[in-house]
Amino acid sequence: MRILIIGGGIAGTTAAEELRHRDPEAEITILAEEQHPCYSRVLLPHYVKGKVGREKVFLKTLQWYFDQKIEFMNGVRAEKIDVRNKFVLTSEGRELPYDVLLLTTGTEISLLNDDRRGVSYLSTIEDADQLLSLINELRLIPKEEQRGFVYGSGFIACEYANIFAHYNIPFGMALRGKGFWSRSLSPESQKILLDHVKKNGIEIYLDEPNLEMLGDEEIMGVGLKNGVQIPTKILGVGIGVRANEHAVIESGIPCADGILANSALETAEKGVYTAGDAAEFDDEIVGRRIRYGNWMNALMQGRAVAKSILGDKAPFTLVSSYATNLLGLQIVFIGDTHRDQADEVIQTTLTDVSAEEIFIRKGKCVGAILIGDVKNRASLTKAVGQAYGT
Amino acid sequence: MKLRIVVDPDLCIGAASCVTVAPDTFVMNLENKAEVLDHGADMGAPTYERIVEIAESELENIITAAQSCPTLAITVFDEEGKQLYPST
Repeated sequence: MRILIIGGGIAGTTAAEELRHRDPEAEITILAEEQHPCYSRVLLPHYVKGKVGREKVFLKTLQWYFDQKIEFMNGVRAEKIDVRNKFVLTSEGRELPYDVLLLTTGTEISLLNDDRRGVSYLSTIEDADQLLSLINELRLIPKEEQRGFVYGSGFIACEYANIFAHYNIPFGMALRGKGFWSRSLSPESQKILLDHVKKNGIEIYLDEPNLEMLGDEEIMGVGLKNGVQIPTKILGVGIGVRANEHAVIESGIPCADGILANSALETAEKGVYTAGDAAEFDDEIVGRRIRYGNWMNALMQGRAVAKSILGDKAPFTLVSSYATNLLGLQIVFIGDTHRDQADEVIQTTLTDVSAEEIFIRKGKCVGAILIGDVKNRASLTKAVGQAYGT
Repeated sequence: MKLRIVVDPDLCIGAASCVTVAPDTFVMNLENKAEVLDHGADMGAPTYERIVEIAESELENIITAAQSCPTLAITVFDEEGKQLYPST
């Protein structure tokens, strides 16, 4: 059986590892757009902060692929997927035939229309290298000129804030909307995060959908909608991701927010599977089709999809969760926390420094958010874990 | 068999994948960090480092749990002090 995996991140690599474990004879190929063996994007902020060396970021070596008899085609992009004739055309012009195709294409970050030297996105190891070098340059200039700026309101924006704080670089923040995670959090919960940022002495600007970049080649500052200009040498941008690659969309494999799949991670196209950040699958835990973008989900889906490919079509059932912190304030998301998909969201806790929200659909707890106080994480994960409709 | 399992709280970001893979061995604490659970080998509350007595059948899953950590915050040693994960 020829199994072709498009995407060399944690979902695709874990799937390959599990497939090899279960089927010593399968021909497994990973097509990876990046040059490197699989690495942990979650470790990138730790690397930038100097907590781990660059080599520690890599989870696999080239030798590992060789030992596992997994063909690793790095630096190669899938240009076209022909599901009728079952082959993938690569950026090198090769046509790779397959019996089973696994799409673990992850997400692409949203970019600003403008660009300057000093604008940073924290998506790849090269981005992390660039950010580290920008920070090192910053430390060579007079202290009063050392300034950063963060644009965004999600996980990556939090990482930039934490990185600037780690290096004692004064910074400001601008959000496109009215608060952090505005599609999930109540205005009250958002206020806790905004107050927390302000308490840390950081200026934060809301409703800034069109941040202006100042400077010719290098970023010198940002311009707000009211005309105010704020100097900065580094602009850290985290304004979201999108799941679908053009090659997948053009292939005719059904896509919406992600690549659509059933509960066993198989798409409507026979022999084509998906997993990880790109997969929008029937989640029997929360009772709807949903796409998650977090490490644990990608890893566990990688393992599950391998079993699905080899015939075990059990539904993938994991209570997805992800945790981060904003300048030391813990934030945990559990399950389905899309506010517009909930029948009701109950704010079960609200203090100046902590919040808990529970997402209800058809009488079942399908998600939860914890801020500040995370002691209920295990019990809420268990509550979400009861299958929908039972 | 005995294992020494160590969590580095400075690296742990609370992803909780270890808890998902090996709930008998790991638990999240109030700081949202993973701790190692008592397997009955000794007494006491969860801690960032513990020597645990495990059945050999548990070993693979505990290594898988350590591997699942996105920040490589979990280190596993055997009885002789040899590091089983991450491989050196």
